[in-house]
Amino acid sequence: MEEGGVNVIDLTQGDESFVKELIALGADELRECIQCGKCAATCPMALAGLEFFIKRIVHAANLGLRDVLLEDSSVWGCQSCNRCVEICPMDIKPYEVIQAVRRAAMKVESCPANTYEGLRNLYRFGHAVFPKGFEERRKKVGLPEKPPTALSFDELRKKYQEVLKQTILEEIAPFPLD
Amino acid sequence: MKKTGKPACEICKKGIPPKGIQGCPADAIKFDDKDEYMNIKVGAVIIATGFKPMPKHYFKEYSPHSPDVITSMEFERILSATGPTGGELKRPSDGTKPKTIAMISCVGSRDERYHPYCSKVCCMYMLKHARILKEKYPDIKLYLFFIDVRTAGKDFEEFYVYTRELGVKVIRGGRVSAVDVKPNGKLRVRGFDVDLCSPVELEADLVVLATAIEPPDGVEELGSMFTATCGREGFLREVHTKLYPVETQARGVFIAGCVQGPKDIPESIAQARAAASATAALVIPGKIKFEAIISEVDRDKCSSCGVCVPLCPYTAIRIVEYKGKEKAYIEPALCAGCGVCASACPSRAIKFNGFTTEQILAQIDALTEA
Repeated sequence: MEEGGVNVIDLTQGDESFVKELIALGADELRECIQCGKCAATCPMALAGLEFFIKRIVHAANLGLRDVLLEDSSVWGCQSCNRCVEICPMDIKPYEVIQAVRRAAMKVESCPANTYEGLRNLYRFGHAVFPKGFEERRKKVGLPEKPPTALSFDELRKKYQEVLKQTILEEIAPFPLD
Repeated sequence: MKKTGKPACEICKKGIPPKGIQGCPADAIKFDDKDEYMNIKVGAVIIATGFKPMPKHYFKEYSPHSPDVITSMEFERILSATGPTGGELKRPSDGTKPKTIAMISCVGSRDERYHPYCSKVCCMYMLKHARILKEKYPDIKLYLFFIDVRTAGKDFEEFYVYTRELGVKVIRGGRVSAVDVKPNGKLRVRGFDVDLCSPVELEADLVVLATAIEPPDGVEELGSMFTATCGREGFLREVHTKLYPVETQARGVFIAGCVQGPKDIPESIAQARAAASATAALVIPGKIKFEAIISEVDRDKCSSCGVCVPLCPYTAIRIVEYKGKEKAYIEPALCAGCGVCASACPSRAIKFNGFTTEQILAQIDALTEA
């Protein structure tokens, strides 16, 4: 809600094509949600106070409220714990709805800055999360400086990057892929 | 009408032509028939006079003056092939097809200012309307505003989920505060969406109000003719909510359907069948058993004052001719043994069996014995 704006959501803005897009991106059973609230009751991020917690995301998605959803970064807070999938009585797999919204968001570059950082590290090093000073810490406990992953094997890393280039990353990467 | 004793000729089954049927062998068709009052004597009555849908004019906040704000009953007529639009979906104001329709539940129901009760059937029929529309016009936008979605009943929950799957938008917690007519002729609906945690509004071409089910007009007078009373909400009162849903306090008078309270078709049918079977059990045997604790008039003592007649809550007393005079007579099958007439009779002509003056005095003596 912008400064001085009225706190009301205009449902007429709802876009049915957004609902269909999300269904195509993996949220197959999105429409079957009856808003019972079990997912929100079990979600640790709802407990943590996410503004658009899972139940709210699913409802906004069903109403086709593309802008309302993509303007909020709550969907990136999901920890993939899968509790919602296990508990949903209508078997709609709320986690898949989150993933679908994320996919839709990536296409229009609507994500928080740290997601791009993680994506870039994933591409360059094979690791999304890249803590500083890992070489010293590994040496201290007697491990080789680099872990036996794409970090240590150049060939592997190049092959991995080829695979990644064949995904939508090719279209939307906000960093050079070479 | 006379019966020919022949098997049905089935002429009229093919449809009565505009000029009428010539030569119906049973002479069963009267073209100049008129309304008439008939006196019939019956052993039991089932009152099943239905309900009245609440009109929209009470709800000023919903712009009832607008032709595009209609009740659900009016909407049913629009959907009907025999209705005013021949089954075509049209806005009453300009005859165009509405692209966005808002349906609002609990209009006059669940409302202390009008009717505190839930009218029971509206959630389901709103979903029914939505499903009919969405299956026929997949691109139509439908928004259903509920407080709660009450779809209890066989297969109803499945119906609800299916309707959601069609893309009908369900807004819960959900009550609409206002429907305003915009300068462009469309309607602005302002409500709240508890699942979105936000006030919401939308622009609709047509608004359908699910108004409350009300008792039919004149039900109180009708009931009092049969000594059946109305409850606080104006529906006829059953003897017991759970155990005797179709009986009234007057023996031989039964109720069924919406006159007893809001309900849907399966329930109305179940009640009708219950009332019919209770009636049959009463009337078909040809005799009835009743309690011995009833009042009797000693007609030689009766002074024909007539005080007892209007006092009887079960209309069991009438004046009949006895030995050339008009005397009170209590119909034993109707007497419920309340004793009001016996205590009121100035001539002490009415004996209340089981509770005669002598019996009561004897009880008092026994109680006060030192």
